[in-house]
Amino acid sequence: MWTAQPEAHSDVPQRRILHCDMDCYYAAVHMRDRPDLRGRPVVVGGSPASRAVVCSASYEARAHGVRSAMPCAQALRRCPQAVFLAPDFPRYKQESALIFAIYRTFTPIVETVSLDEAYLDVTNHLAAHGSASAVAAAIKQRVKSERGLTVSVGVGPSPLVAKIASDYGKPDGLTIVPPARVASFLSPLPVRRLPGIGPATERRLRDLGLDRIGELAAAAPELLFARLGRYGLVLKELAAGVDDRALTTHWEVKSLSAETTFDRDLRDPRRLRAELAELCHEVCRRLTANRVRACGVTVKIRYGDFETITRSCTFASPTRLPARLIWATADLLRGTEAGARPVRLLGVGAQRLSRSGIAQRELFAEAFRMAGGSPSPGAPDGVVAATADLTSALDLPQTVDAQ
Amino acid sequence: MNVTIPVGSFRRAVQLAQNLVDKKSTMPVLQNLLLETSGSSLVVRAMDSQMGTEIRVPCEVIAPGGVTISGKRLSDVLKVLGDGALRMAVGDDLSLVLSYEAGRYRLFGYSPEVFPPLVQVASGTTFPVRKSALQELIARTEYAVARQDGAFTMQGTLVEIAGTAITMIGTDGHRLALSTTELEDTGTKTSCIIPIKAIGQLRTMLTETGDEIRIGVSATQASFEGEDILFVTRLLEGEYPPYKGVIPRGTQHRLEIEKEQLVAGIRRVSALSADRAPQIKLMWGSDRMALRCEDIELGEAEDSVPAVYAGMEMTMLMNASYVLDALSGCRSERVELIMEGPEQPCLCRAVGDETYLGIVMPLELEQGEETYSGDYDYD
Repeated sequence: MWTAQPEAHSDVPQRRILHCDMDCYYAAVHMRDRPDLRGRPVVVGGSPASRAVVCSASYEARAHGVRSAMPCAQALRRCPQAVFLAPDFPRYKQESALIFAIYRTFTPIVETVSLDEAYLDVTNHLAAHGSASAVAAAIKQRVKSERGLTVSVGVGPSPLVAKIASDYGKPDGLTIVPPARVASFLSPLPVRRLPGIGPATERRLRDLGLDRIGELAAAAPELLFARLGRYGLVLKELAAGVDDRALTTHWEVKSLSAETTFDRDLRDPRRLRAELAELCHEVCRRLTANRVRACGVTVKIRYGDFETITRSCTFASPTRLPARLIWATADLLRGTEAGARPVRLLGVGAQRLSRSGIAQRELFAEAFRMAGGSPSPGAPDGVVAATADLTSALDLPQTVDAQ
Repeated sequence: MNVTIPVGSFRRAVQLAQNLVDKKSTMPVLQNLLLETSGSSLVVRAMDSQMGTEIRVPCEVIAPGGVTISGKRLSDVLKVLGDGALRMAVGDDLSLVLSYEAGRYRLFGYSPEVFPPLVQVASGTTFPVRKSALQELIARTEYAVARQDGAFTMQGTLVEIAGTAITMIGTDGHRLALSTTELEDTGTKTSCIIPIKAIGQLRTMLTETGDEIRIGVSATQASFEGEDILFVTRLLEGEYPPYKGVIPRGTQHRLEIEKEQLVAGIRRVSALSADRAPQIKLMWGSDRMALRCEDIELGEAEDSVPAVYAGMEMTMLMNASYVLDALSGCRSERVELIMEGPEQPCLCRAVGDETYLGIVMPLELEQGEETYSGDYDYD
């Protein structure tokens, strides 16, 4: 057993990192709340008739080949008997807060990766349980008894090893990799298991005859450098289980965004502007919740043929007023081919966030409130302002939402 | 078409017209200029989707006609010529042949018919205004007009014509500038919004023309005609913000101060800030205006300027560059600042001068901002 005793050969105590990963989280929450779903293939995502993709699938559904991020229509073909459920993010968020609260009773150093995934550094918080593996077992037990859900936990001397270990024992796994066994644990695994290695890198490594993490760790640095550059050397380190990254316990918000994919590609400029306004309201809600203002805004457009463009502009002063975002994004939209070409996806992002707490007062606050309007779809169409063209041949979509 | 034209004035006309060409235009023909004879002049026409211009250059017309030609190529050629006489002729193949001294250039062109016409405002509705007055109106209001992040109609200058007065207003929703001037009776009462890009173009055009400008306004466009220059722009259609409601009417908080002293004081304290738009505190006191600039990382600066003020003491936070912009339109030694309260719009104008006012909205300091600390106790 790997215990709390500091290593004799090192001044720096070996870290004890836990990676806690809930088992098919969204599906599991629904299955806990609705006993009739237990044992059945459950798919959380949009309707199979739409373009939505799978967010989460129960192990019963996975057995039929359903995977996350697969189009729901395909999931239905693979598993016709599956129960399709719409995601309930507020519910997952609420549940997540309760689970993370359990984690925080073990250590304050909790890095949130997503609603269902976290890293815990328990190096200096072993007193109550005596060892990292005992902490991990206690966490699993409490999540199970208090929340009725299972979590897979990996324990290792680095975030990298902990993450691979948690995946190793899924579901409901507890995998402990003490420092002395890191090499023998990683060595036989396929290189794809290393975070950051996707299909492209995997292919290049296979070309070099490197299929297993152990082979990558033992590969000649010159060879890796020649084939993959500096990144090759980084991979070699990772393959050896070396990952000195400290956990990040507080994320500073750097940008905020919202986007939406339409069921059918949109061409109507009015609908596009209404959707854009809706996204601006959402971004402003998040700016307000984070107590920040945007110095710039970006519009993202994906046309029907998947070509994706972005257009940005800078604000004269930091703002989180919906009207300002709506005006600026409408202006950016006008400079694109949206409408002339069908649009598949629209997004709005706020950049260069200011935390100063100083805001420029508005001269026409009343008029702005009206322009900001209620976020009901299609609403912000009040007065239509337009410039037609000098040349009647050009009839560009020039209408925008004004006061 | 066959003409002999002085290179100097032709080159200026082509450059001026070329300014207006939108390189990103979706209509390829508008990348060109139209050259066309008219009486004993050559007219150079350029357009984009919102504006158009015609510049008339006196010349010797040997044979009338015209051609659509790349403005970029033409202007490149004219750049390398001297100031003598240039002979230009259009061949049957629509190529433009330029002969200068011993040199010859042949540029391929298109039929003059492919270039769209410039529709003018009917002449009955035009009225004259002095060029210098128009330039002053633009200079005092252009700075306040919104760029991208303003409401659509804020991205233009409001022009109001009422009998014997013409007024221009610019605002971006944070500040506002208004300038007015007397006219001979126009017999017209109308208003329109001119896009900010057209205002910039008009400003350039005005430097190249004579002292009398005729303005015409129709429902969809405005025209400005000077000696040898015609400029036409589409108008922005829509409601202009209700600007009259934000001009302070009372005088309960009125401070009088030397303009140059205030400008110098603001520049001195804001020198501390690295920000492009420094935030300064203005403190209105009975015999002086105190100025203060704080920067969390750099430090702080304080200064004060003598002033005449009888109201209650009050402090407000302002964007320094907005205040300097507003003061730049004041044409006298002494200026007055008028506010109805420290959170209300601040009006700046020259003492005894009703032809200009600048308004700046103060900044707001949000109360109760939490500060986060990322550190945890590790033991």
